[in-house]
Amino acid sequence: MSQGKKILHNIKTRWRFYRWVETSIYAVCLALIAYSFAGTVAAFITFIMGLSMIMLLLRPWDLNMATVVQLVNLQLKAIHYSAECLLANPVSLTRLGKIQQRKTAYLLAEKRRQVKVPIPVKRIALIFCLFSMVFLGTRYVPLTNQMTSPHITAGDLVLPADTLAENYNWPVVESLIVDITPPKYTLLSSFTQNGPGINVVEGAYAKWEVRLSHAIDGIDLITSANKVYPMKAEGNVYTCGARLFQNGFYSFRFTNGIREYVSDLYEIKVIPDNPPELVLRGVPIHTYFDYNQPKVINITCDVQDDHGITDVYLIGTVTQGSGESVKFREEKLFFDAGWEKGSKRLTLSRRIDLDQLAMGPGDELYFYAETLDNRYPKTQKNRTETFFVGVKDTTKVEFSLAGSLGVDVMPDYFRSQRQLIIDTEKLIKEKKTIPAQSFKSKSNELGHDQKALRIRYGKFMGEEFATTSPGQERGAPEPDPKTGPKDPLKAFMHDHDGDNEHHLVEDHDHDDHSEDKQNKEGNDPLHAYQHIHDDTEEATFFTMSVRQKLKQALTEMWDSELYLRLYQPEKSLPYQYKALRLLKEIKNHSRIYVHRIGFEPPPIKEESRLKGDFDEVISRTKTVYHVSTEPYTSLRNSIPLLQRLLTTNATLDIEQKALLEKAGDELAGLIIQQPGQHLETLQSLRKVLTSDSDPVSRAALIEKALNGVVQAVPSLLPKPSVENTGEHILTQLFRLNLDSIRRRKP
Amino acid sequence: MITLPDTKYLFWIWALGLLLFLILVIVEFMRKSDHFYYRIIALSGCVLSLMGIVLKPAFPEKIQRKNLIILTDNYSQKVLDSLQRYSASQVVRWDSLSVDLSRFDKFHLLGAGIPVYDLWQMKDKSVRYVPAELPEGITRIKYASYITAGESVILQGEYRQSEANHVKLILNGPSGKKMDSTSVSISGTTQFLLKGPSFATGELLYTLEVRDTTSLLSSETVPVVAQAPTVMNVFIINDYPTFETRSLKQLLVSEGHKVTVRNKVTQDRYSYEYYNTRARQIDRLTSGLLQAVHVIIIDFDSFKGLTDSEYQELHRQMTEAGLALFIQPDEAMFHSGLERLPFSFSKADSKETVLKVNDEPLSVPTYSYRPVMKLGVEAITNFSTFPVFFFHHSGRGKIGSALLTKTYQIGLQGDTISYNRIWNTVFDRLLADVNEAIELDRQMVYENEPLQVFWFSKDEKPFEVKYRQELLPPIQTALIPEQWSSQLWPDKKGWDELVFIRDSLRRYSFYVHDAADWKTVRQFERINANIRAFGAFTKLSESIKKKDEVTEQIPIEPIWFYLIFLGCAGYLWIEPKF
Repeated sequence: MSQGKKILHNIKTRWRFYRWVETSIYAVCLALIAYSFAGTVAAFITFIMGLSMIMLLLRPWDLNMATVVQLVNLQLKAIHYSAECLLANPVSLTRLGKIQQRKTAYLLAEKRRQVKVPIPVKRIALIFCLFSMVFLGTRYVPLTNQMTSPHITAGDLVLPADTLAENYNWPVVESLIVDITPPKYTLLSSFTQNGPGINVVEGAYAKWEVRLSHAIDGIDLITSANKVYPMKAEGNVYTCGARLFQNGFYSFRFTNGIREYVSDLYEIKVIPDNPPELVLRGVPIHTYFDYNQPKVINITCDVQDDHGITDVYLIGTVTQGSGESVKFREEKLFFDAGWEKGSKRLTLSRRIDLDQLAMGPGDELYFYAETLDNRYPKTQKNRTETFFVGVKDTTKVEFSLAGSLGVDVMPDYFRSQRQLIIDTEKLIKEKKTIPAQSFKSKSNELGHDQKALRIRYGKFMGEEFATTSPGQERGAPEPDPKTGPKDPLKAFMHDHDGDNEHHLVEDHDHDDHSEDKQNKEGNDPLHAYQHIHDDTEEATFFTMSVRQKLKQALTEMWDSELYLRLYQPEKSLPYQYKALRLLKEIKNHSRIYVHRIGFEPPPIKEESRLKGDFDEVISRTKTVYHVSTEPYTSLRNSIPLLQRLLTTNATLDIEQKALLEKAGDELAGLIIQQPGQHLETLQSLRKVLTSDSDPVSRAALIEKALNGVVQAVPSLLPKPSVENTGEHILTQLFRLNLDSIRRRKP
Repeated sequence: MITLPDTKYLFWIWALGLLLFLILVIVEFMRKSDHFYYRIIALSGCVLSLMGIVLKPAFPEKIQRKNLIILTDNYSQKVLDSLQRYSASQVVRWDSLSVDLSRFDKFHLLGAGIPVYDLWQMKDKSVRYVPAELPEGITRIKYASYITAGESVILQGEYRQSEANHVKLILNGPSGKKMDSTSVSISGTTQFLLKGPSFATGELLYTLEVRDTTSLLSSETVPVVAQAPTVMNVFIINDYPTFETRSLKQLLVSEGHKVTVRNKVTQDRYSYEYYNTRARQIDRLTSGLLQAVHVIIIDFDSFKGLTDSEYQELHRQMTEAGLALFIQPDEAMFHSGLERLPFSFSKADSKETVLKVNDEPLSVPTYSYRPVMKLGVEAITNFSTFPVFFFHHSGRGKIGSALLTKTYQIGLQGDTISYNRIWNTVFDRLLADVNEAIELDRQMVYENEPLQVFWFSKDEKPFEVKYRQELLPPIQTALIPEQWSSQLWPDKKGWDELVFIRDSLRRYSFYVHDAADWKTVRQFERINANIRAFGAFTKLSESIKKKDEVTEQIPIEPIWFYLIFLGCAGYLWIEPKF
């Protein structure tokens, strides 16, 4: 290559190089901007893309020799626009051309340094400076004005409740006095409580006085019922008062400016005023007097109360008459005088004479004691159970078993004939094992029961007198004048061999009696049609056969009673069996069997059962949503959290703080139910929430809270849950094979 | 003599090298340079050094192979001295191993052995293992790391001591309060069992202390995760309402379960009750209906009256999805001979039994039958001397029934706690296992030790498991395609967790112990694992007395070839310039 051509080539290379540099600078500027906003990766991508775009725009490679020649011609006047000849092939040039070429080459070589490649330096510099300024500006000048947008971080304005860590000069509590004034009615004197914990009677008024070393803005008393009592300030002495009615706890909140301090929790235990208690002595629940005996009862009443008794009295109700004509009369009876109102313990007495109450036979007195205590404003009352006192009415026939056995009360049950037979058989079996006296006594008792049964059945016969026996009823047999006097006991003996003494064979007494009655009473045409119930002979409740049977049964009962009283129960048994048989026949006799007539439904066809018309039968739907409330959920969930805090000493986030607060609330509820327990735990829990103390003491607090919560929380019952295990092809194959083994029949 | 490694490209490397050399020689010849011969030598040097870098020639060297003695914790100095008397073997500690194991032929391992996760390093090597003395203290421990809140934490283990010292093992709760304790006073290995209640849902740390009469010997952490109980979806299907069903329904509803009750009014007419769930048609048992159900409680008449298609669907759900079925018994069930019923019964005399649920014994009436405990039939509870509740496996699910006639009387008598406990135990046993599990390769996890994590996924692509925000790369197990595994290295003591992402986020918590925790248990496990891997030797081998010599090929360092190449290439480049 000739020298001139070489120089032109160099110029072209240089020019191209500068154009590439310009392109790169522009791309770098774009990349700088991208970097300041979006980071390195974005800057790189922007550089590549920017370079590509600017390359397409500027086309730095697009430079040919013609352009270079033009440049040289323009810049080097001395060559007289003949730079093109440098490119020509010398062979093709004329002699002149060759001379010109040589000359031009020489000039170009001499003045090559005058050829300046057109670089838009200013433009490049301007653009570069501009973009650099933007880049530097984004690095060092904030995008937003931080003064106008508030940027408050947690902790700037909110100070910890426990400001001991802040070297703040909190006042010292010089004294804390709690004056307790019990209610006036308790007659207890006021006193000053030792210590901040309070143990008082219900309704007592407590007055707190806190003296500080210097005054602060205020102190509030906060109770477990979430009531806040602002304390009244007098200099550096703060007071407040409240009346206490239920258990709980309280604390103080000291406030000075924006700073607050909450004290420990202190217990309030309230002793309730219980109702008075009273007991009546000296008189049984049921007392009955005979008419002719002194009808006096002496009552003693023991009363006690926590603070004082205001009144004690008896409330008596006298009943007279019976049935619809019964009359009630209420009277207030006072105990004997001489006791003082307001006493805490009393023993009072009172003598009640039934005659003074104008009570006659058949009248009853129901009374109870009542007392009032001196509680204010609402008195408390209490009473005893009701006692019964009565005067017997002996004109009425009673099933009284009073007599030799000395049993004064009505029996709880009435022994049936069957029961008598069972007891008699039992007595016979026991004859050899029990003492003779006991045997006789039991036999006599059975005789009594037999008598009572006989009397009961005798009522249907119109027998008023229990003492008569069939023998006596029939009258003593008249001695036959021909044969002479007969055996006097014969009338009392049960002799079937004789005449139809017991009317075993149905007779026609009714007719006979009626004839006799007619004969007795003259002509009474209505007599045969009347129901005469007073006359034992004329009792017309039953037909003749039933009456005869009943009479016979009574006779058997008589005989049975006789042998029982003669301590020969084995001999009474046959009579008892007969009496029982007769009573059964009587029962069956009075039954009427009526043939059923009327609608008889057809038998149910099982095949058509449940296949009726169900159009009107609709399915029923019921939907209920029941929220299962497991108690103390937050308290339980705080256990793993506290344990984690203990082991890691991490700080609490918002959710964890909320959980501990809820746990504290649940624990507070538990404290109210169980006063005197878990108060320290609640204190520790609250300190864990609010305190920023050093790690060692914080760990001690957390441990204390954890111990307390675990003890407070009741144990859980096990519940079902699914187990997480891995199920894969081998397990499935195992199960399939197991199933096939089981299905294989042996 | 220099030897070249045997490689299949040897011929081509030589051929190419020679060809290149020839070409370069021809070029040099054509250049007619003044220093032709020097340049040829330099060219040869370049080509040969390049081939040397590729072929890696080696010199043979005789190496005297030695035995290596590896020491681990609690090794016996006496054994070490005896070994060293035989030969001048190299002695290293496993903890600070810095030798190339492949240079040694035989190994003697002394002490507690190599950690289990490092046993693979000694695979296929000749190892003589002389185990250390078995440690004294707690040597084995077993407990359920995951329980349901309300369940007891039960620890079983073994305590070993060489002398008959009196020690006390105490289980303390999360607050440090004593829950249970037992004493050991005989020498040898004694088994123990300790029990403690769980108080809450979440991660709880219990402590197992060993104390003698004067001091605390050891204190170990027992981490337990108490899970919340499952909310069951229960269907009750009855022909007519009974007190038994009513009280059971009340129990389930009060505990927050979703209960659907269907009682028959008449043909095709039912009374539906929905508790804690939305109302829907349950006239027929279909696949869509049964999919979300955990337990079906059905009386025997209704069970007998299920159509074939309903029964087939029910059976399919039981075998494949793990549905539990509880059949309320009646007199007819015990001698029905129904093929669908997988139980058979024998007659018994007594119509009453005494249950021991809590401390107080409960007398409860039963049917006068007993189940025949054949293959597949298991007792659900151990409240009585014979199974009063029993079940039969049916694929993944279970069919259960009972002998008790009137359990509601227990609640009516005021003992609701026993009533709740009985039925909760029954449902707990009947519920199927869920196939969303993450398992660890061992129960105790220690810091700075590798931990293998396994999980199961039936999908082709396994669901993701993250550990500390990083996805764990899963490796599929060849023989069990559903099982995936990964390895992680916990490096911090305390509670840690894995998060697996499927339909929702689920967290699997595990506790990382300090390296010093459960020392005796770890040692015992390690000794046993090493014995299983290598066997236990008490006599020293005679083979250690011989010294082995082996010839090995030691390759020439490639840096020499590099330097030669640089020199020759430099000469070739610089020479024309001067």
